[in-house]
Amino acid sequence: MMTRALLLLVFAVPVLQDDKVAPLVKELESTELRRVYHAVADLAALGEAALPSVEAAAREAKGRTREYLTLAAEEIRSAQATGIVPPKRISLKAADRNVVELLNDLRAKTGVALSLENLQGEEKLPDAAVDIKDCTMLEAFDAICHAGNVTVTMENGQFMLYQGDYQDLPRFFYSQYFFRLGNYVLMKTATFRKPAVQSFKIQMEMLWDPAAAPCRFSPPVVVEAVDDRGKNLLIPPAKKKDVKTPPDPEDEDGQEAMSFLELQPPTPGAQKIAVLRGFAPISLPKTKATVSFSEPPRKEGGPDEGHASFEGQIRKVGDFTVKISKVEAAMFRIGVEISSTKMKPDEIARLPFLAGVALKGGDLGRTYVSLWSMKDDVAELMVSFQPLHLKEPLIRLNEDRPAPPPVIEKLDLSIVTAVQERRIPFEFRDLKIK
Amino acid sequence: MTILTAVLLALQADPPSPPQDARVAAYVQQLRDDATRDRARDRLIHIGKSVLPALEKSEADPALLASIRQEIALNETLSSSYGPPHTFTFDGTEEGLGVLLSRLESEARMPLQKNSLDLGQKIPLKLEDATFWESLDELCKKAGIFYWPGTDPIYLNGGNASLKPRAYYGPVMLVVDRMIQQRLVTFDRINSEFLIRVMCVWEKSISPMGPTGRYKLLRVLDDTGASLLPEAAPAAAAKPVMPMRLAGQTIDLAGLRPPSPDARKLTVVEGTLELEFPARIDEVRIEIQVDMAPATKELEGATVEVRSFSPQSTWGAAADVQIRFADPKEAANFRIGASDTEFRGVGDPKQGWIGSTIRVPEKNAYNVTVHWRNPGRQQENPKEIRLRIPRGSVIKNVPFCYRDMELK
Repeated sequence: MMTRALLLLVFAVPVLQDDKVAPLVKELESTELRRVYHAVADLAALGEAALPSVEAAAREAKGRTREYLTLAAEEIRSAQATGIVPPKRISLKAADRNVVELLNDLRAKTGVALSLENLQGEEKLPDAAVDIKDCTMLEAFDAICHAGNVTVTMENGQFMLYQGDYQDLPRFFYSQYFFRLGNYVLMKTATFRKPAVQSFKIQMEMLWDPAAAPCRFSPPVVVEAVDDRGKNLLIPPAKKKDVKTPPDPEDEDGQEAMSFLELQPPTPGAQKIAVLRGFAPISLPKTKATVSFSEPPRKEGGPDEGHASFEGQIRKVGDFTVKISKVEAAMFRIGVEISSTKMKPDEIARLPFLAGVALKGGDLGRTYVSLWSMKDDVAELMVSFQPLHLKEPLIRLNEDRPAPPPVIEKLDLSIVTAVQERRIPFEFRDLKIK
Repeated sequence: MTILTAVLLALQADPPSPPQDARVAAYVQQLRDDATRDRARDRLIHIGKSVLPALEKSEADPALLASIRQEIALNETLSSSYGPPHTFTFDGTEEGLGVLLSRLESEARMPLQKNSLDLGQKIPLKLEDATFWESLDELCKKAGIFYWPGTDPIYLNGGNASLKPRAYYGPVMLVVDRMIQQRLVTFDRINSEFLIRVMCVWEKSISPMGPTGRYKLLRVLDDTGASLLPEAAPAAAAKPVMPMRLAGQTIDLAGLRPPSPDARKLTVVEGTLELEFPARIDEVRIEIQVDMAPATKELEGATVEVRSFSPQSTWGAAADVQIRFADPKEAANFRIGASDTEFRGVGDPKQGWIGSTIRVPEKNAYNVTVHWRNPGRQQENPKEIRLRIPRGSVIKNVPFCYRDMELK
């Protein structure tokens, strides 16, 4: 009886997965891009159990459907390695709340680290009407910002919000990632040495949920680009520049998410780009060595040493020794020295780092880790942070006094020791170019 | 030995130039011809005010005469910062490339770095009263040499001579580096623009502060007859002030209308651009020694302070200089170049090189580190630094005219 039940279970699981996979595969043929990529994300969310079915479907499929299925299979494998949970989809409907209240709701529903500080002025914000159904956090976030006319930028891996000037740019959402096109430039240059050279570049920016922050980027790859006259805009491989040069760590200033897609100039009479499709390769942390520093409990009646008690603290993890060299809370930064028994400072400097700063009162800081200097045997990093004020009231009194320096309670620093590559797809249709 | 040197110098000397009166008379005559007028005007202006009596006696167009007189008067006010171009005459006799280049280099004092050139090849060069830049370009064309102006020294490399259009004006040359047609779509608007990037260079015998970035375009036409000048063009904005005086600078003639889709070339691009010169030069000499106490020299409206002079290992030493001004505008516009610095006291006077410059707006000051390079180890340090402090500003408009520039 027991054996029969087990056999039934073993054979039933693929059948059950096939039941879930088949309708999603059908969705991949939709003409609505949003439905296609939601289907890819849903396939990926089925997890490891669905992998054989997805791979089998990929083998049988053709053209774009096959590519979407291959991507879904990659996503399942990648999720196993990184532990990043696929985003849940949410719905939100409101007509009588302002943008700050709506974004605060979004924070509560999704846990996204958003600072609303820039939007908290004394002026009364108008109500923004939204009706969002079955959206990822980023889709909902963008819809709220659109309704409330709020500009979103990404600085040092964190969202920055500014009142006004929302630009309705072509955009594409996938999972925890969001692409938007800034502009395109058609340029013809005569240098008198050879025939005039024409170039066509589209500026594309990638934004992401900080919970799925990439630790490295590679230039985006366009796999399909066709104008409405049918001209293939892909640059032949022979003309492409070598993009395999490893990035210089000193150039990594948080701007890698902005890139230019280089294409062939469209046909002179073309009105739009019919399809622009590709992927942005990123690296996500796979394994990391993490150390935590926290303020030691103050002795009863003892003096308040401020952040001096942090300075000089040393933690060891694996081959690494991490020391806090200085804390400059008023300047929102913490200096950290890292040495290794197996790696030289320049090798350490090339590793990606992640940091989390907890502040007094339970607030979090948006953090950014940069290489500060390299000495004989240590790489010195600077952890910059900015309080997110997640727990502050939604309306702030207009005060001229500068806020007191934040009180740091805890610093978590992770040294990323291995990464998982992931291809984040993007696809745009019918981009007007005239 | 002395006799031999004299003979060699005599052999290398210019063929005898026509007497100045004859030169002036010839140029005055050439003013009447469209094909030769611009060059003749240029030469007469740069010969200077001695041409005015002959010009006034001629039947030259009064407007042209007035413009020449005005420009000669302006040049006179620029004193040592501006002067005539070095001119060269070659009679077409074949000479070695090395000899020809050396002549240009030594007479115009324009250092040339000759990279892998066949200096022995014989070149017949025939030029009359050509400026340094005209002569160098003609020689490069004949010998197959490529160079990019604006470096000091100028690097000469074997290859195809540059085909970039050039305009010559006295000691100045304006090279069209490129023409860029750009269409920018921001998904809510489209901007189409055409720009012409011009490199402005000059002989070392003159010392402008550099182009201001402002210019006036009189005519820009393509071969379909369309004008590229916008109807209501805003005045070109001044370029940000450079941190130091350079050997050359680019200027973008921007905001033009794109040429017609069928156009194959620009038939004419004509205008003037502003080149800024100091109104005067104040010279300062300050004694220096290692570990010296700061030393200052007062000038009218400015103080020059050598704050330190320190050896930099065995290769040289560096002087930290601060120049403070009474007028904040002068401080904001001030810059100095390597040719404004000189070290003395060890061997021949030696030009310094600029290591870094920093503006200190809160003190109306300009900090500059001037390096002295030790020509050999264990030599004495220099005893004195001489600085040329450019003061004030005079704008000179440099004319240019390019024809038939290919767009394709």
